[in-house]
Amino acid sequence: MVSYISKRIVQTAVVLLGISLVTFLLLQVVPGDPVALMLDRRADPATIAAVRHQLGLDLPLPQQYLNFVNGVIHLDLGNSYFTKAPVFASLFRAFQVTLKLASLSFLFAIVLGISCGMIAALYRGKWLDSSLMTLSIIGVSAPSFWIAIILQIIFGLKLNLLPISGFDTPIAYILPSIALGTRYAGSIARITRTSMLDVIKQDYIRTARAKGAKRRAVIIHHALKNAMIPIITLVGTELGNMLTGSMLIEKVFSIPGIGKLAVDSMSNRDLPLLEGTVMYIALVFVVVNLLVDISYAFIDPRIRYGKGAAS
Amino acid sequence: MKKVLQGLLSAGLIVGLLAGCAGGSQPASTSSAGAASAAADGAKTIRIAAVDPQVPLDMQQCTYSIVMRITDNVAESLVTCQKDGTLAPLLLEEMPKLSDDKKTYSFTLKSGVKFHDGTTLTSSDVKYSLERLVKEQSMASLMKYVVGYDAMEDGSASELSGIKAVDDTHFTITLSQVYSPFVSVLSTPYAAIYPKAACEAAGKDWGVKTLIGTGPFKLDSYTAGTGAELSKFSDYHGGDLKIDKVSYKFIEDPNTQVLEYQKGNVDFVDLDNSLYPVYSTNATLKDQMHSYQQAGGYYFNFNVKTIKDPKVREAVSLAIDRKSICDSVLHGTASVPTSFIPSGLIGHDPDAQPFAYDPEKAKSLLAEAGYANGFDLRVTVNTKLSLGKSIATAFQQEAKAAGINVTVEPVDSAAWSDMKKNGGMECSISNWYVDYNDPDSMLYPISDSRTDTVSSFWHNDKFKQLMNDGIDTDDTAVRQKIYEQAETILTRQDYAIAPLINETKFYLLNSKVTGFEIDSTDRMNFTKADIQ
Repeated sequence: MVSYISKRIVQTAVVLLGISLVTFLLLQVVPGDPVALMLDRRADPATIAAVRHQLGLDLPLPQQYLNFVNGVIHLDLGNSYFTKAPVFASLFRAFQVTLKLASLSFLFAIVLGISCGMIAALYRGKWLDSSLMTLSIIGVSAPSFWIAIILQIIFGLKLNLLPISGFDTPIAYILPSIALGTRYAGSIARITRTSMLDVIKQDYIRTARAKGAKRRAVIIHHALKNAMIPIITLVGTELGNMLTGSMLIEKVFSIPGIGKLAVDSMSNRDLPLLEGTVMYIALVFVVVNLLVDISYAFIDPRIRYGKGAAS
Repeated sequence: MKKVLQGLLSAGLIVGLLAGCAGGSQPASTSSAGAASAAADGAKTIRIAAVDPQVPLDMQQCTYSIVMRITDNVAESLVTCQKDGTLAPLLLEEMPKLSDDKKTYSFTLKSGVKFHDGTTLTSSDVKYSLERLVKEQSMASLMKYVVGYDAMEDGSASELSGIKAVDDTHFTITLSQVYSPFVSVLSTPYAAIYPKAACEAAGKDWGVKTLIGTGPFKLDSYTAGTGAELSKFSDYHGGDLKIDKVSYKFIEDPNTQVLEYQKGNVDFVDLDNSLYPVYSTNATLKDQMHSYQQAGGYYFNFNVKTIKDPKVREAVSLAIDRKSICDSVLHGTASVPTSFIPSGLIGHDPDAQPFAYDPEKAKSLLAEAGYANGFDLRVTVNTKLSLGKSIATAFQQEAKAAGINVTVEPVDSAAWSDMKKNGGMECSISNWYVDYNDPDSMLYPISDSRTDTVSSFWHNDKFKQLMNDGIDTDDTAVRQKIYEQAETILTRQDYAIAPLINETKFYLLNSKVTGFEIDSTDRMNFTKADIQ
């Protein structure tokens, strides 16, 4: 396992290097001069040239890229062209916010999704199954910003129970977490139901019941545990999505998270911040995928990595 | 697995508890508009819904109006523009005196004006601030006519030799040529006066952690993504203030801003024009809706390198049904312009007729220009300007009557700037508003004698001469004639641009707030504001 993880970490570094190079090259091709945008209204060519020189944008491209890589190695991603703040600090601040939002949404999604999926599987074909699956389709289909606005109007304005926007108090976390987590809860419910139904049909479930094990014990110890692999795969991907921010939810609730940071940096062609954000997103996905792969071995003892693993 | 289930149930319980405790902990004071302006400590606070500027609060670095909305009440300029468009001294004892050759201005500072850090305003602070404006580059060209500007721009000098501090309260500014709008330029937020020592000491933190001025309110905090807090400056030179605090709450989404207003959590919110029909009929909100006319508007900007024939540009202008755009896209809240120079500025001709809509004449002009079978026009819009896209889409339909086939090309702000610079636009929808109350502020982007920020690439010797003549005299009657001629060349002769609409801006204001002012250059003032 240790050698497997070490290998994956080396792969991660290579992937991140490749992504940084591709991002850097793409940004040279995409139209949009950050300096012209920064200086905006009265920008004359001489001023633009002076600022380009200050920012090092007049250096040859390979030199600019090497400067960036050198900065990353020293954990210095430079300063944002617009906010002037260090990119690392901006990313960390946004990450803290996004982590809170993602954790609560994730919690909401897995609790609601797995519970509903299990109940629907156990009551297959009954009205409860149909109702839960209808709700899950609505959850998956409804745009998250629409759910957000409905929640704001009902719980924020009409019932006056929760804040409409902001992310500065624990109570303010509730509506954005639900709005973001609903879609994921829907998809988790659907895959849990499907996976549980596959497992419930298996001989070992019948055997367990024949041996006299209680129904609840069979569902929890045998059925759910064996149904977890596809659920974890989905949950892992969704956790990655959540940790990379949700621009719409962040905009509607005025949450200064990664999603908003990424969109703003792109629309401003804020190269240091954009490179930093892309690197962060890539890192999150690579790490989450690694964690998901490792978790398989804990859920299913037949799965082994490294020496002794089936090739 | 039992532990897993217990974990799931525990997590569910936590979420449930959080949801359950929500109702009890929300303060009741947020339930109705108008009740929350006075905080529990008795402080009178005006709460503003604003968009997070995400940049330092320093108009010399970042020229966004959303920055100005905050900094205007913290840092002040030497003079101010009054409601009627006239200038008045703000940090000066009197308006500056002009020398006989009309190139040197003599200033006397108000004595005893304090900065928020307790230091006294001096002439060296003024010199430092205006030189900093040049060093920060964004709006450096405002000081273009000050002696020593060129040397400072090319790095051969570190100061503007034309600004001389005589003593602590007296200084002079000498220009390299007569520039009649100069005092007006000094009223802009870019010419804000900062304390030299504090600004130098703050370095990169200026506008981020520190912003000190002479304004009525001090900046207490500026938190990215959350808001900015201002509090009353007790030593304000302009007299006592009735408001204790101004609180800016950063809310990105316009709909969320209005929901927060309806809930009573903010006292001021800008209204997007697209929301006008919704709120103008709302029984509660319509009486709290106010409007103001910003000096400027939207216009078509033609790239004369690609659309070379003025007849074609005139045809496009004639193909715009501006009245229809005002009624449909802007729900009747905008007006058809009669000139590019807006009403209230020197050079605006009060007798000018609205720009005509005549698709038949447009067709015949296109035929004369060799486009009898129709003309293909690419209209580029900046996605940041949602109104621009709506106008372009409406025009796409209207233009068919004149045989013009319009393709709308939406691009983001970065690509927009790039295309402007590189001549990648054929025709674009832009908006422009004055920085200072003078036609020079409206026309300088068009004139290639000053800057080529617009994508028109248009040049006209006569127009250029008029622009120079316009700043060379302070005789209002003469300037009126000069700018009227310039306007005619620009919009009715060469058709370098085609004015589209003059929009009205709307905002919601808590009915308990009085004395609040917002002017035609979009500047907010809380000096006389109060909460009843």
